[in-house]
Amino acid sequence: MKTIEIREQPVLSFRRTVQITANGVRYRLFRSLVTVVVVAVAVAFLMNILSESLVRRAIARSTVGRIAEIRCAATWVGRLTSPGTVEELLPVIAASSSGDERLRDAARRGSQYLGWFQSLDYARRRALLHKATGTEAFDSLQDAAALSRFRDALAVMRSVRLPSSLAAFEEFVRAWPGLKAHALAVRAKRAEGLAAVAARLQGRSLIEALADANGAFGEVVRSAGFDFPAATARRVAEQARRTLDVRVVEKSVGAPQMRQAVAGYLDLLPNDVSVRTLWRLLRDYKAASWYVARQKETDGDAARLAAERLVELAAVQGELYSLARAERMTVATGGVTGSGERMDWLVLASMLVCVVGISNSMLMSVTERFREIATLKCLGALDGFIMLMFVLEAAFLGAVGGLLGACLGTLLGVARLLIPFGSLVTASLPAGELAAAIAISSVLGVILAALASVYPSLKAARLAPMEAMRIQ
Amino acid sequence: MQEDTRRRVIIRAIDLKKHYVIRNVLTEALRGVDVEIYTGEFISVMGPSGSGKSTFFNMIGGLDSPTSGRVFIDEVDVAQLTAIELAFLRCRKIGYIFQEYNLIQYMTALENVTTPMAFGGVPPDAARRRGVELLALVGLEDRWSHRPIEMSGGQQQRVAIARSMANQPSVLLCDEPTANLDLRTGREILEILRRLNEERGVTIICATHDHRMMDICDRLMWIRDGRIERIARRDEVHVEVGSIGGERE
Repeated sequence: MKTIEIREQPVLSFRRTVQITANGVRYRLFRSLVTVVVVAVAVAFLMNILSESLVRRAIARSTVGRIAEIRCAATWVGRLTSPGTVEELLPVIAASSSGDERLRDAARRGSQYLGWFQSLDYARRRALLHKATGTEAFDSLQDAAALSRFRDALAVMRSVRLPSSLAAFEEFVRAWPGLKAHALAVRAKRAEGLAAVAARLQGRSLIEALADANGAFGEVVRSAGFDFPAATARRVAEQARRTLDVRVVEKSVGAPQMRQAVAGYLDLLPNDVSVRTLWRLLRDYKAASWYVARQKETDGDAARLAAERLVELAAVQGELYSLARAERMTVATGGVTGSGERMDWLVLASMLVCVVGISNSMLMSVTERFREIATLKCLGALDGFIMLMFVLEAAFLGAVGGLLGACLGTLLGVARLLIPFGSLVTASLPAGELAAAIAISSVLGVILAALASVYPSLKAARLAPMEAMRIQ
Repeated sequence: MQEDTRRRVIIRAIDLKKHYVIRNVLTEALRGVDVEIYTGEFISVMGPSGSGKSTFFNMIGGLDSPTSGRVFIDEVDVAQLTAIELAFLRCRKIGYIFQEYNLIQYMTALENVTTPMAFGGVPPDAARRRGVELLALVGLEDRWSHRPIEMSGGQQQRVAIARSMANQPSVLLCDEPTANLDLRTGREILEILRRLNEERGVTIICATHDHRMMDICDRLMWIRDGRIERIARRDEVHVEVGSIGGERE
């Protein structure tokens, strides 16, 4: 006859556990799907907010660059109109290829300090610098008493930190008079050059002259001492010509009979015809040809432009409009996600929804399987096996739901931004960052689901088999 | 049969008590049960519902812990065992058969039978072979790939019997194995149990309302109000079936 000899129960292999778990998930497919959906919705919510703020930030970044590029001609008009303030000249000196290395370094530091002064709020700036603005600050700090006041005030402000050490700043202040003299000299030389340029304008406006930047006028600018490479000149010339054409077109619609004609074409009241509606209309080649024909009939200025040119101008104007709007709408408003404190709160709330939703569905799926747990325990399953089974299942459902939800949330977020920003979204889509965010959210889904299942499964595994069966 | 081996005690309960507190009301399910069960015995436990029959079962099967008193399974005190040793005990030494079969719904018949072997560390190939043998023993060799939901109650109970025999246990605990089955199927199940008892020498403890059980068991035990009312050998009872035994239920 057999005798009972109690030994330790072997642990079931991980592979076999996975097999049994997968079997269970497949059998309760509908229940598992519900859990997956809960996880997916929670993660999608989180991911939606994250992807929106990521895309917004990317748009903001690319918009700033693109606007500077599109307004290249305007920048040069400004540069050729006035020699600029000392403050404006500091970055120019820092970037110039010639000159004293120490001066260039000081200029770079100077604009860094000025940027830092700008970022301070009024009360702090007032305490540090009294009423001085811009480079006046450096002038005022030449006074030893003012400098010591600055030092004392800075020591009190705990959350404020100079971009460099205090010693380096003081050294810069000591070197400031030399730098200022140099800047003024540069300014004087510039003024001379500008006078020379002005003499060669021959009655044209600057923008008209810049349309010729590719040719003789470009040489004039270069000989006046400006760094004006051929590539820039080409772009400036093209933009200047475009600006002139835009002016012609926008002026042409001001004529009453033209306005009437456009209103008739669009079935609008003449008063509702704006420059905006005109540009929108001209995006279409057929409408553009119609416009040119009308101009020829009425002998308007825009008659000399080809319909293709009008379409091209309309496209650039459209881009400018959307860039301007994008710039307005993507102004960073702080917070961790870069889209405002309120968004941070929303992200936090969505995390909470995630945790509550997932733990609830895991709790459900454990409690409704008490009988199965009890049976498995009767068959000799160890507590560890039962826990592992549930945590594995939760992690698997969490992974599927997390990935699904992350993709869904991203798609929704991007699709929502497509409405106000259009092609800007696709042009500046931060694919790498989005992929990383998707990966992180999916992992978050797995971890949350696994964590949420630990407590109920631990409880279930610890119960004596018959107690578990009685609960059901 | 062999009188000396039968004398070996496999399960011994000493002053077993179990109390439940349900909504602040103390319920005494067992009020002190002393019993000795011998190896190779087929013993029927009878009693009306609520008599503490199932509680007694869970105690001697190591499925629940008593409030006081002790259970020895082959002279090993169950209360002294760790969770892992208890799992070992449930896995190899005791087979359980329930009224509701309690098969794992998402496993096939064969997987249900081989799961306890997997827990016991039997390699998969050997487990499969032995699983098919066990299913053949209960007459289900051609239904090994069916899931519980595709089988009748009698077939499910037979799978449950095969599963309980997976690791060749010394004791089979059956909690009303025929209660959910019709007469004919119930008789088939009893027949299988009797065969296991006779051919393999498995000790069978069977809670039941089924009077046919009396014909095949060695001893009968009546429980009422959490106490053992009476224990009798079958030949003693047979005389009374017409009189007292018949009146009991």
